[in-house]
Amino acid sequence: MSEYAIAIEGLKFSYSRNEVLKGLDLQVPRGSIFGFLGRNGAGKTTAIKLMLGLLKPNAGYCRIQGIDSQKDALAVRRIVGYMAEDQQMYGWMRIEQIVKWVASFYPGWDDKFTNQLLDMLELPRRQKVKTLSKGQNSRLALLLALGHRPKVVILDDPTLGLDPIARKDFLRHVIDLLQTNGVTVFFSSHLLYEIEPVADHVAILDGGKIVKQGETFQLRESVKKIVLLASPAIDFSKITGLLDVARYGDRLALTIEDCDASKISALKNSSDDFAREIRLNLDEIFEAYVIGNRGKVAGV
Amino acid sequence: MSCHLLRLGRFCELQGKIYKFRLDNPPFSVIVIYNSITLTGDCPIFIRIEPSSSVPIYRQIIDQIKYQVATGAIKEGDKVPSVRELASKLAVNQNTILKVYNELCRENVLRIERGDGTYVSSNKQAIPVAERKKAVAAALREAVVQAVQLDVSLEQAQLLLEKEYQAIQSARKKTE
Repeated sequence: MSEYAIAIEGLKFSYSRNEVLKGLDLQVPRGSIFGFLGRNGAGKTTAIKLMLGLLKPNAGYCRIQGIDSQKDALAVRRIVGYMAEDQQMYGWMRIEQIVKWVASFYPGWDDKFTNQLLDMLELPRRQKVKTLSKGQNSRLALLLALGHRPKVVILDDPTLGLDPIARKDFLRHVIDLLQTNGVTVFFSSHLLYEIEPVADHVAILDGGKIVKQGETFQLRESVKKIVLLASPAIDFSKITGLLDVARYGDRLALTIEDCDASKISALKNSSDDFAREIRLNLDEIFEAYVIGNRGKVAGV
Repeated sequence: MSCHLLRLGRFCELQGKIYKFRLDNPPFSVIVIYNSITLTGDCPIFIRIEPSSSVPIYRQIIDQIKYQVATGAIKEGDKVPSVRELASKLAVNQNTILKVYNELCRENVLRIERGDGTYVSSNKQAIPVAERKKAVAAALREAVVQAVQLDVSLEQAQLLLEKEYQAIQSARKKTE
């Protein structure tokens, strides 16, 4: 078995002539909580559907716990818990009915566990699905994704439309129920401040490819902004990992990945000693990767 | 056994109903209630995470715990929540909290007693003067930038600092 819970290589997919994924590579370590970041329409949901074998890729493969999503989609769905974006459930059913109904699809459904979950997630068994609040709805969807005790859980934008308290509660359940039991959690979101506390790994999807993936804290520490006096001595082509250049008056702000001490001192030598190092938050780092200006700036 | 009780304790925290239900079994319930109190009511650390800050989350937590040890808000021998409890409370990844505790143990601020829990290992002296000075310097730097930008001279700023320092010290004496 591979060391990765999810391994994707060279995944390509298009909707008619619109190529959404242009060779996606992704490795999700076992037991991690993996945040899948991307702007609206970046292809997050498409990638997730490919992982589950709900769509057919033009090229590449995806394996979940070593099982190929294309060759054996049924086996994949048996070991994966999936919560769709804005999951629709039959409104006329009562909670206990929908739980029973979903359970009938899975040979390994755990009734005792789902009963515990119903109490813990405060879901009244007799209530009709259509009368549930948005928060209850997403908790029910989570429960339905977990009842067969999956090893891998894929959540597509699970906190969409939840208020801040319900969102935090939901993420707390993910940590309490899943991380504690060694389940791998893969979840997509475009809310970065939400991803950072929860995810130990992140990947940024942009332009049909993964532009960055790694441990959350390393990403946070390795990308920095350097502000220095604009000088003709700065050779942009020599700066490796340059993500963004902006000019403010006589100063330049450079956003650089893997920004270590040697890169900073090299920049100081070619400019001035007043170079300032600024730490960035995850939003700013995301922005640099996705819409960063890597070209030339006027007047330099 | 202790792990099992911990789980029940967690249910108590989450679910008032289960809490009541356990009361019907006397020997068990006492322990369960006790556990829920130590878990929810007795958490000695106050931590606030600022999600949009440029300071990484594990750094924010480390700094806040150290600060509370240095100011005596948490004292030598105090038990801190387990990794799982704190992760759940803050809705933060367990690995982040683990990293925080490991780092604080390495710096002798906390110590892990195998099979028992994590404790504050010593008083404020655990944090060296140099580091305490560094924290104050960082806070002062922002004030100095303001002073320079607003054309407040060094002499004026020094007077202001002395005045504030004395005001706070006399306020502290009054409360003691």
